[in-house]
Amino acid sequence: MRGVAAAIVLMLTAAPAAAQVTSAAPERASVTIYRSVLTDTTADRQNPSTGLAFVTETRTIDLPAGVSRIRFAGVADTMVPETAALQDLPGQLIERNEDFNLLSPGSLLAAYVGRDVRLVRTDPKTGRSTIRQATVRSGPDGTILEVDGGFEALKCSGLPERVIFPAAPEGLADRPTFSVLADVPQAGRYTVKLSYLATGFAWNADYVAKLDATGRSLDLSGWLTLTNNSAATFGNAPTDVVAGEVSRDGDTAPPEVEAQAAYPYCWPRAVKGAPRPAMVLQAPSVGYAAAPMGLDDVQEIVVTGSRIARQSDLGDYKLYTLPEPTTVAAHQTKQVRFLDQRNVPFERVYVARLEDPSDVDDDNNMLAPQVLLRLKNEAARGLGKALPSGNVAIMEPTEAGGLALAGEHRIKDTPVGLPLEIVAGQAMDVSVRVTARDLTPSDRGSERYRVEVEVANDKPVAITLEFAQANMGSSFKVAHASRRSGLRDGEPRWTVKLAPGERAAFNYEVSWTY
Amino acid sequence: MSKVLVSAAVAALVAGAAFAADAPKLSLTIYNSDLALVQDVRALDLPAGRSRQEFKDVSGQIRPETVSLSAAGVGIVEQNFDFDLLTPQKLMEKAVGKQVRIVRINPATGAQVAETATVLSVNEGVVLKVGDNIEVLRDDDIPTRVIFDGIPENLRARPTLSVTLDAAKAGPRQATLSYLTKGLSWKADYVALFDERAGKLDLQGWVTLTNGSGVSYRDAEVQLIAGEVNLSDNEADWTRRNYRPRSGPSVAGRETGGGQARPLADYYLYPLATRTTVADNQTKQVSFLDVKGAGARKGYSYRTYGFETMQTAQAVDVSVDFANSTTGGLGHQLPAGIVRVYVRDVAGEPKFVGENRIDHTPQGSDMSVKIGEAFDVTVQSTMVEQERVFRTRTRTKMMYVLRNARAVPVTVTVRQDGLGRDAKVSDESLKSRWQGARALTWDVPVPANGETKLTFTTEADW
Repeated sequence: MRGVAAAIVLMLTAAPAAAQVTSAAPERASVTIYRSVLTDTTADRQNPSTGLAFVTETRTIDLPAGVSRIRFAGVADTMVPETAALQDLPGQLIERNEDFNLLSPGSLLAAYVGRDVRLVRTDPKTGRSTIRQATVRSGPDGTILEVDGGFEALKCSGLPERVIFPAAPEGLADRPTFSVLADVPQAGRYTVKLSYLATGFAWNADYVAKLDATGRSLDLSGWLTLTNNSAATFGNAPTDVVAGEVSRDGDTAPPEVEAQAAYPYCWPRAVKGAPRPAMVLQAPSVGYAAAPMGLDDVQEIVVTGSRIARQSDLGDYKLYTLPEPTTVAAHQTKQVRFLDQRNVPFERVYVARLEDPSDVDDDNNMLAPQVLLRLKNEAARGLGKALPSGNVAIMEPTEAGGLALAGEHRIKDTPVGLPLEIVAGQAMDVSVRVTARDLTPSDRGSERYRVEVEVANDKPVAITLEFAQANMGSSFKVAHASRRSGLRDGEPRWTVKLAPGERAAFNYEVSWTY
Repeated sequence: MSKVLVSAAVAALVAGAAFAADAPKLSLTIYNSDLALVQDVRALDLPAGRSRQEFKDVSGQIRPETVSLSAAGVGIVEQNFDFDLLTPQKLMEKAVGKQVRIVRINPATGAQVAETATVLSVNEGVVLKVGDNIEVLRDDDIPTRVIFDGIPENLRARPTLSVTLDAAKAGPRQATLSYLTKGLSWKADYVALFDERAGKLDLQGWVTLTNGSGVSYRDAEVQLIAGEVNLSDNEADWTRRNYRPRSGPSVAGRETGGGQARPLADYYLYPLATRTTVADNQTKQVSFLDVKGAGARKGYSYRTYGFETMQTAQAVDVSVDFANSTTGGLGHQLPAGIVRVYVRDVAGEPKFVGENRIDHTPQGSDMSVKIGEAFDVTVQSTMVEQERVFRTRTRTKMMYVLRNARAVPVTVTVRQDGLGRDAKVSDESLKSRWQGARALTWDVPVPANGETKLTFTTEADW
């Protein structure tokens, strides 16, 4: 029995020759946050495993000469340990470890199997406690103790009982611990940089397009919305965000950590009334260093609007650096402006698009045109800025002098030079009626339709209407059109300018094969 | 100013006689696929004749059919792996028909009454015979302790391996216990620092091994096997093959902290340079590769499998391309893993720019690691025209507009897959290269802040 006990002690101790050094917290940290599209903000706020940030911490450590185990406390709880890198540490890095054997009621009992503890029983009447020396004979899933030569189950008698352990076992920690084993030639104070990837951080872009009263230009402002779903707070940290699609791998995630629970798991008892619930032996999966209860609901939203984020290039991505160091606090959303463009000219067009002519029938012959704000992302046209994908809220002035939300649209990543189209919503008082006649010959493997288009503008202003025939795929062809069409984004498109109250009609033939 | 704590070295606490005297040798051979071979050399002091040895500190995820114990002058009678765990319920069930002591505590006075009882059954409650009376344990909710005289031999705190041995003569000797276990695995993680301007790549490789097997392996020799090891469904097959890894000389110091790959059959074996402790619930990383200045370049590419008309432009892929060859400055077998690519930002700080998975890659391979999509380089394709030239033959005219908003010219490799049989290409605005019989590529130069239209016509049977 003695041999077994000794073996357990040895397993739980760290490498005996190494000095133990703890770096409690970073002096400085900088954070780079990668974009995640938070489609469901409410769900993602609860989930610290989505999103990604690259954290660089500066720490000062006093090291003795020789082999040391350096423990880094205060890293982000969502750190992905295999991505950690340590710079500026002299000597040789022997290994890096992430230990996630957590101290819990269950792991404590498991570590003490075969070892001596004290058992305290309290008399419910007198309040007097008796303390007995006991040996743990089985672990957390139903504990058996050896007391005074007999064997008893813990917490099965109905008496108040507790166990006192002489010491917390080595190797069990309150939270996952990152450490490195390094051989340093010379004792001294060293400043090192620890960098790693961590999940739970995200950002996305949001735009507001405010139309002016003339309806010909707009003010476009862009906001970076930063979200920190982790429990880590980086105070006064230089922060930037990366726009562009960065390849990710699902395995880049913090280790799944389970805390071991302790269950009495007693023998069956006849309980009158309700049936005994089935005993489930599975330890509950504990979230990775979960926030204190109740704190999850505290969502702080900070808006810092006075200054604007700087944009630079990072490889083939766009990097936006926040104007000044900021505190990226746990469970916080923060907004910073990155774009403020005034008087950007745009063209308002109405676009109707016909997909499959064979779907058109008497009940389904009206197309709903969309209102489109068309811009060109060029400096000469008032813009010329990289625009990361995001939602655009379109605000239009009302006659009363206020503003109204005219629509919302998600734009893709738009580099300089590309057209930018913002869909504001469905048009009113602009109608597009189509009729399609089936000309498909019976013996051929192709489809052919003659399409009649009638358009009308019942608005009090002149409009530009575009009608597009969707590309139907193989051998797609449009012919015999009564009006000249152009080609835009691979599709034939007819542009019709309509004065108030004006109507127009044209027709064409379309064919394709399956 | 951060607080720095230095605590004294932790001395070895207690060293049991069995551990101190005979310098046990523990070695782990860990595979990519949630599997490890544990070889545990320890001293056994055996009496002559039959004896039973228990090994309590073996992995809880052991595959018991793979256990083998060998020692000089010792025959194995039988091996048992007992996983009947000691719990209060099991203890009570095994006490059926036997006597236990019960101690009732009067809740009003605290007075204790001890009695002897016989357990009659354990079914939805414990039925006892106390004196001449039949009672249900704690039917009245009065606190009642149950004291057992002993624990049945086959109930244990944790899964235990026991081997019955037959020794020719008494005395201490070395025994080697080996078995396969799940719960241990490893993968490779790479850190690639890419310097686009210099065309150089610094590549660091880390072995990441994870122990979830339930026990710690102290001071073990560790070697890692890269490659897909065939695992039969019938796990017992393994014992018949009687696997024996090579034991070679130590290769400490050749590369940072790690080892050098030595071929083992059709796998690669990486021994770690120093012994290490692989603790339970631990992820451990050891460097195995550190190459500076390997030649590398950035590549832009777009690959499509059909003739598509895109309504909006799409960003092209960005990759870091390098040759895993000695002449290119690399030339190592690279075990499968995730490559994470970093570049330096304007301030010179490395920043993460993307990650991707690589397969086991032998020396001499050309590698292309996609790191993401280029914000400023886009492609938009249009199927300009398509017609049937024959019953089963189609001619397609395609246009790819490549736009570059960067201040430097780029070259995008466009790959058109999915061509039919007997494909031909004509009227191309740039010269193409065939990639096999059904795919074409073009290297399309796109000027800074400009665009290039790639047009071509293909004809193929379908």
